[in-house]
Amino acid sequence: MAELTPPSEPLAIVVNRSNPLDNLSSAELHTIFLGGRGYWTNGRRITLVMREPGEPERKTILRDVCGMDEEQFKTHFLRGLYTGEILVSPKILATPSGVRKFIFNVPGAIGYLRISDVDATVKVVRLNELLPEDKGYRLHVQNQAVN
Amino acid sequence: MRGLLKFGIKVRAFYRAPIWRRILNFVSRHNAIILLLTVCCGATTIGTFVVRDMREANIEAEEIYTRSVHGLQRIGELQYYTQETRRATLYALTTSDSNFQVEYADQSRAADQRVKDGIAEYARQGEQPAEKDLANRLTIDWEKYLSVRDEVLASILEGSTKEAVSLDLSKGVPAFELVRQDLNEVKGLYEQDAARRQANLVTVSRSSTSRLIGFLCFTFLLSIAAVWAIQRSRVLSTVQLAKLQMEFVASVSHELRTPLSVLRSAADNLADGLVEGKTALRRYGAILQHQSRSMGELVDQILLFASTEDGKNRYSLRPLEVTPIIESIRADTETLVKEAGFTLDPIIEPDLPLAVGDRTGIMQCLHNLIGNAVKYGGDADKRIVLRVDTAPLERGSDRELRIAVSDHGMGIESSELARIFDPFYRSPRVQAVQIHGTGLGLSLAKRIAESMGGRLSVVSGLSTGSTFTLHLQIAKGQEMTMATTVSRPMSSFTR
Amino acid sequence: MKEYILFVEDEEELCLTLGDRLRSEGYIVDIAADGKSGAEKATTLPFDLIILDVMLPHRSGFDICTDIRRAGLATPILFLTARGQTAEKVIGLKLGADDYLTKPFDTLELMARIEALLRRAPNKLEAAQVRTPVQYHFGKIALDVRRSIVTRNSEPVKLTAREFGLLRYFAEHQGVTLTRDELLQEVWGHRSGTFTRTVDMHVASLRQKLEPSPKNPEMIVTVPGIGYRFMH
Repeated sequence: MAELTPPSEPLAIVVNRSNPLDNLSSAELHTIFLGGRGYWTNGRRITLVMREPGEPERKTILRDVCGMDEEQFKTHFLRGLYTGEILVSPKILATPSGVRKFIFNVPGAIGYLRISDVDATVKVVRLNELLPEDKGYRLHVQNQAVN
Repeated sequence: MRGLLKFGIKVRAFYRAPIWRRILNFVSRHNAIILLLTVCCGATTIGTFVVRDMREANIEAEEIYTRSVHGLQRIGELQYYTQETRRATLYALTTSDSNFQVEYADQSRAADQRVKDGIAEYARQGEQPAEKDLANRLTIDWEKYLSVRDEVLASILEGSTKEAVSLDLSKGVPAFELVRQDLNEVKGLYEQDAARRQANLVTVSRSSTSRLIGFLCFTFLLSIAAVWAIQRSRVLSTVQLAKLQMEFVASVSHELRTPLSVLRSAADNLADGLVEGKTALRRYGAILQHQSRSMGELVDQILLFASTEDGKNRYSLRPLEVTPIIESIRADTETLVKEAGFTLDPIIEPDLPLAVGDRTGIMQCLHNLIGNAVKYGGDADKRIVLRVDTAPLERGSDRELRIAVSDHGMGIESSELARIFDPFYRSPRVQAVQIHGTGLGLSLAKRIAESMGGRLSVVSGLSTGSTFTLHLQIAKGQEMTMATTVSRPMSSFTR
Repeated sequence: MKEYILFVEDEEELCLTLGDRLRSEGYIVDIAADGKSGAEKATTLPFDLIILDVMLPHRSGFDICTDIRRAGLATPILFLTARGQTAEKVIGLKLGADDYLTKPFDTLELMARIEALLRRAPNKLEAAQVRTPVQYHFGKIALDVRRSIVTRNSEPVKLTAREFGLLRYFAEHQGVTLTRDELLQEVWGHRSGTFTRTVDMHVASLRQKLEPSPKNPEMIVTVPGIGYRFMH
């Protein structure tokens, strides 16, 4: 039996609409998502918005952006908070709508959403000058395999 | 008409009582009904006013209520949702779970949207500039608060609770206070509006009440006046009639006593043997005849008057030849006319049609008229003209037969023309020159004329004389054919 | 002497019957048929009594009564009328009438009242009849007191009772100037002097009947300012 390739969806990086940010490089994204940066250029505190562990979007970010697994991610942040390097731990939202609402309400928030979950309440940021629907966009979330 | 013009008539009037007199008669006869109608009309008018004013007041009151209720509702809603906006925001402080926090954020936004809607609705509905002004201010103030709230929310969601709280305290609270004050002002405006409308209502109702009272008073006074006037006129007419009747009694008694005294004196003389000789006896005999006949006529007249009081028609009407009747009347009144030194000239139009009437009635009527002509014919020109002709009626193409008796005596004043036909009425002028009379003659003549389907009219000028005309209907079918004076089979009925 | 009565009435036949009655009683009757002629006669001719009807043509009896009294005549007036209201009676009597009778009247009553009115002034002359001469002669005139006859040139002269009384008084007081008041009192029996015209009228009448030239009287002479004097 031939299996359909589970579709993969681009994963958009979204920020609050008031955020002047337009583009992030992979390196910058990596730094931000590891809590390495505290504030945006407009002075707003950077608040990281994550999904719950186990969610495919989180897995994608951890693997493709942070290059860590859950344990490593957790340890990283614990150490960082303890040392004071990291100011605040990421916020965890259960649903895509939660993510949207959070980002909508918090000017300095940054998070990620499947492209199909994106709506007008959040702003999509280019990654390496590429929009999620562009060819060559390198962040994709895999859907759960059947098995 | 041409003939009468010769004598220089100054006044022309027919016996139709002036309009105001007829109206007054009508009113006094049906005064109860008229009064009732007046009162009904008055009540209806008042009722209409009252109903109208009440309805207007009702509508106004309803509107006040509606506006107040709506106003209160609106304010209530605004107050609630402003509070909700704030509460939801602050509830986010109670949890660190972002999911919940985000939910609270949603609630707050939902609430603030309701507030925005409410304000927009208020702005839209506002009619006065104060309201629009206030709506603007409210919008601005709410926006100001919202921006603070957004910050607070963001802080809370970010996790900086202390910051959030201090921000809310320092900026949120005052901003919210402003909004609250604005809402109070809104309430104030509603109250003002309601108070104004109510004051209006009170004024309107007061003026309506005073109008109502005024109108009631007016109707009341009018009723009193009407009743008084009616009573007075009734009393007056009763008094008048009583006076006339008394005068009539005095007149009648005088008219009867004079011949009676002659009879008595003559009888006494005869009884006491004072009268001797054939000539003297014959003379006395003539006296007895004359006086008793005189009395008899007077009694007849009075009885006839009394019997016509009930208005029943006692005459049998049939087509008559008028010329023979004129001849009879001439013969009957010859003595009376001659003894008084008058002459009676008949002028009869040839080919007269038959008239509808009763022979006795016509005779009686003319007898009265000629008697009057003798009595009031004065001394200067002692000609009495008896003219018979036809004339067209005022309306229509029919004609009527007229028998006119004219004298050249003292005439009748125009102001008295209407009254001379009243029973018992004797003109003061006539009484002043000591002319005997009961005041019944003309009244009787008029009644007779009317019971024959005709009428009596008078034309008179002071000191030039009077002409009384008996109008009779022409027998139908006779207008075209001219009756001849040759005796016809029909005339045998009239003998 | 016969009394002269004036009857003012417009009802001709009553004039006839009542006239007959009065004449049968011995009165001399004059008739007037309307107010105007009635007033004229009453004020120019001497009458002993006037019977007036109230309802007369042209002028009412009341007016005529007022005229007579205003003319200074004392002649008794009796109203005879069909109008019997009290108010009218009072008016009539106040205007100067002496009596008021309503029609139809009782003939005997009327006669009695007339008699009463005519004898009102007590005739003192009757009492004095015995003492005084019974006959007087003045020129062509003869006066027989007892038989109450006056003749002139042996022709009888018709005098009213009052005229006779006046003549007699003159005769009894010849040559004496008599005032009107005295004459009024003695002959008519009136105390007040308001009716002196009556005297003048009767004197005029006497002159008319007895004097050869009434305009230049020789027998009854006027004394200016005082009265009259009877000259033989």
